Amino acid sequence: MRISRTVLVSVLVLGFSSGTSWQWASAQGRPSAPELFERLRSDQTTNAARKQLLDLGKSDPETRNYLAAQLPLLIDLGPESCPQTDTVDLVTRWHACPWYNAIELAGNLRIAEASPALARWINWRVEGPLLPSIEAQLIFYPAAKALYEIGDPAIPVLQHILNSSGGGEHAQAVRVLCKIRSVKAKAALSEQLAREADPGLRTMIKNAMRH
Amino acid sequence: MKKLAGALLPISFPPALYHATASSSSRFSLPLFPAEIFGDNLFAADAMLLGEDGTAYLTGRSSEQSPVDTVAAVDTSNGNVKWTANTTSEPDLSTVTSDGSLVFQSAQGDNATHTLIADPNGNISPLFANSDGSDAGPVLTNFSFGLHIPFYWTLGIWFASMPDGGLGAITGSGKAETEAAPVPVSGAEPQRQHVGSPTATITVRFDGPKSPGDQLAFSGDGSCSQTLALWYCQNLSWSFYVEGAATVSDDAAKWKVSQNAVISRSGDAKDSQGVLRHIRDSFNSDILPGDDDPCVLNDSRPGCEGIVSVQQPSGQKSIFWLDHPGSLYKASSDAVWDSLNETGQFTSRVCNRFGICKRVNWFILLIVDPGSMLDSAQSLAGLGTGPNP
Repeated sequence: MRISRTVLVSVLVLGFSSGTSWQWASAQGRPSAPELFERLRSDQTTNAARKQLLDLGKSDPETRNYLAAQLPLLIDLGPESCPQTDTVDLVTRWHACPWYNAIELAGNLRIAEASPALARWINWRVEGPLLPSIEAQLIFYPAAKALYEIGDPAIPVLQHILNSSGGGEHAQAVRVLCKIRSVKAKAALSEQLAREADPGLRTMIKNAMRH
Repeated sequence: MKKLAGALLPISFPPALYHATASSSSRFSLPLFPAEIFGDNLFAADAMLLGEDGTAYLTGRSSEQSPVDTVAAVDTSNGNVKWTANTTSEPDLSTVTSDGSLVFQSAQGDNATHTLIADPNGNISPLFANSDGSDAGPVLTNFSFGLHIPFYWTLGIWFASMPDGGLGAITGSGKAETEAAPVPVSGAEPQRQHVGSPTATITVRFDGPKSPGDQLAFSGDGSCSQTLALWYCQNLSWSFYVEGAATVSDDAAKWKVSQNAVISRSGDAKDSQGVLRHIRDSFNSDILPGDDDPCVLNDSRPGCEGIVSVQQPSGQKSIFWLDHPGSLYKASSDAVWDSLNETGQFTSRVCNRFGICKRVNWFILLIVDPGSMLDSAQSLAGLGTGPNP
């Protein structure tokens, strides 16, 4: 059987364009990454989409790549984009906000491309009571927690904060570096220790570098 | 001890108890309709137990149409009914003790299953009682399947199903053995332990200096004092500085401290323009398992760096931990609390690797009056569940 060159090229192009798994998923009836991302942006469907994107992003590199391009744009919108809600339960309320869910996804999937967008909100605290253990674990600081989860790839952004910001943002960047605990993080902390003026932060850095 | 010979056969209708021996048989009328037995139901309690003195303890219906709602003690030598007792729901018989008391389970008016003991005269009380006579538990709820009656082991120790579905060894009945241990009442939780296994006591303190052996320091966001009390850290926080303390029978390092918190808040936040915004919310740390557990040395969880709030050195028997729950002065990034009513209910636990745990419930009530004024008179903290949110 003879196959013309034109037909062969067409088949190859079709094969390539349908090779991304999220397009395949859509063809099979499963929502694609763009479809899920649209749901993530909707106040009504954002939390369910977050869970689906988390599952998909863990197993599908294309979904992860898609989120790496899209999540920073959503994170840039800031907390003021969150819908007003009467929901009493705080965790439910957080997850009713597309912006919050974008941050959580960026951290859970360790999307380094989101680090610059996250840095802007590193010291932003969700509304919540004072519970020291939870406070210390950054639960109330979603962007700081996401940067910690991203780990080493977030270190340049954290160093930029250290060099350019003061007050709470600076302290939070030190804390996140302390949590990362990697060799790279300790090297960054070592540099910071030489010029860190805050005694409390100096102590925190020294403690982190001991472990 | 009187030996019983022969066989006992309860009949539902007409209600009677037959006592047959090798040489004779007797028929005794019963004041209840004995419960029918449906096949080999492994999850049904025995409908009749026999005491060492020949007393039979039967469950049955108080009338032909009623559910199984009665327990009766019958002398099988002569058919005399020693006592009868009505129960709220079907009783599950467990054990007859050496003094002729009957241990059984029955749901009470609270729709929870309680473990009870009827003395030889039919007087019923909780098997494990607090000092005021109330039931110290375990009180079982949501158990719709299976048999959960307690089993007596030895030396005053019972094995009993716990509310969390686990099995606990409980000391406390003064009926079964003369050497029974007293009922633990702290936190109203029976002591769950294995014989000869480690034990613990636990409490939380709310005022005064820290314990002499406590080397910990309050640290972390919003802290400004080292004395146990309610403190206002200027423009930073209002919080209760508390100390948890546990004493274990073996080694402090072998136990883990954990904690969960349920917080409800209601109040008005005031922004820089003086505009008030009402806030009402709640937070339950159970949704984030382990996240309200105090930080320990070298804790790898995010945020525990530089914060050590548990002291449990190997070789010692005392465990201490610190906490300072409350509220930040700022309600959000652009507003401060003008007024606030916050309740917090906490459960702190120490558990060892065998699952032996001791817990204590405690609470906080934080009142901030309009104008961001701490209401020290109305605010309080203590053991127990505290006021409802």
